[in-house]
Amino acid sequence: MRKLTFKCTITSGLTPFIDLQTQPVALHQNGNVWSGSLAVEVDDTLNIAVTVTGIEGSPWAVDITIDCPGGSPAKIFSRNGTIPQGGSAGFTASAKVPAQPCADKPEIA
Amino acid sequence: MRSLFVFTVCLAVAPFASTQQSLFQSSDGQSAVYLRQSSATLNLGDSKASFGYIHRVNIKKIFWGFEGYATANSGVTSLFSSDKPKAPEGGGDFTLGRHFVLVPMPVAGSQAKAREDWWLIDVGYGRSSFYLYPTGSAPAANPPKTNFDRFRAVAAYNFFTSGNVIAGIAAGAERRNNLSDLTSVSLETVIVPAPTGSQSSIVKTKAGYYGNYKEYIAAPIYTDVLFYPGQAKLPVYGNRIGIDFFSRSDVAAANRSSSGGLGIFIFKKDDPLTPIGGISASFNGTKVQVALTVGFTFAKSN
Repeated sequence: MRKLTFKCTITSGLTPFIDLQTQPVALHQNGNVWSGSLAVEVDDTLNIAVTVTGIEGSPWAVDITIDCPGGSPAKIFSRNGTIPQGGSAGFTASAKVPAQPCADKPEIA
Repeated sequence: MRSLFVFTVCLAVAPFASTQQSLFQSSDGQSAVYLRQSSATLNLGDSKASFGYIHRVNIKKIFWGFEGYATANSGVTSLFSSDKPKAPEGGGDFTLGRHFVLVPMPVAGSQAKAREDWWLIDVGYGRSSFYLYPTGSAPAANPPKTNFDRFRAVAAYNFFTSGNVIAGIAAGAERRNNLSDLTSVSLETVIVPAPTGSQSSIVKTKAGYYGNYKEYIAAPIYTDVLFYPGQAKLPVYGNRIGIDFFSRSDVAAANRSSSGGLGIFIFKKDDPLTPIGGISASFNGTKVQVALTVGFTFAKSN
């Protein structure tokens, strides 16, 4: 187990919620973009739970990264979609966390 | 701390009451729907500039914000029947509220139908100065300026449901004056009288308001139901469209009034909670008033 800080960025019209390893992430609002970081203990898998809310038909997106010193962040998880009828979308997922996230990381555009 | 700065340029007949109320406005510049449309605005129609901030964190129910504003003059246009004069005014608003009041805060991962509510208290102060020329009294050559202190406290409750409806109700009290009912006039003081044989003289003018001036306490009640019909979008551009059914009432005995109306708003592409403009029409039983609001918004974090 190691403690890593994950940066979460969520696009959601109304209030979104995200848990990493069952711990809630505090997201600060900036328009329809919400962002925040959380340090959690992980081995090789990050457990994610997300709920996004907004006007139906509007886009949502979830991005989880790890900041890398002197470089672009390492992408851990990314998903997007459209708010369905009813106004919210929720899911749980798992993401593989590399042993060295900042080494040999996939670049984020 | 991350903050939200939104700059909006508006060509509007309707005055901005509060940037936190967003561009959902009827012709009186009011709304019961408080969205996240904070913060810095320049309203060309109302010649009003304002700057504000909203602090919101998703897992904390309490949020707050503030706004400062200044208006320069009566604005640039009266195209849409709002020919009421306004005096320069400066002031500020403070907002304190809470999300998830009656609706429980969802658990991350939940797929339940969306519901979200929030209430807030909006407290504001504004001060304006103007020259007053009361009916039935001769104006002084150098009339003193009259100052008006506007106080306002409004409580609002908003509710989002079904993915396409936001309803709001706002009620409170506001110290107002009837300046908009007075006649905008100019006082002319002759500096150099017309010489014999000439009709030209030099005069100094002072703009002011003529009529029976009153200050009173209003008890406004506003309601809005904002509805997003299906996936209705602007052809070609793809911006979402929303329809706002609203009512505006003042239930104070001194100035009781009521009106209702309909607004159609266009939203930022991919962000149907940020209006970029709209048109609204209200009817108070005797006349229809139409207001146009056009703006564009961009946000920057720090």
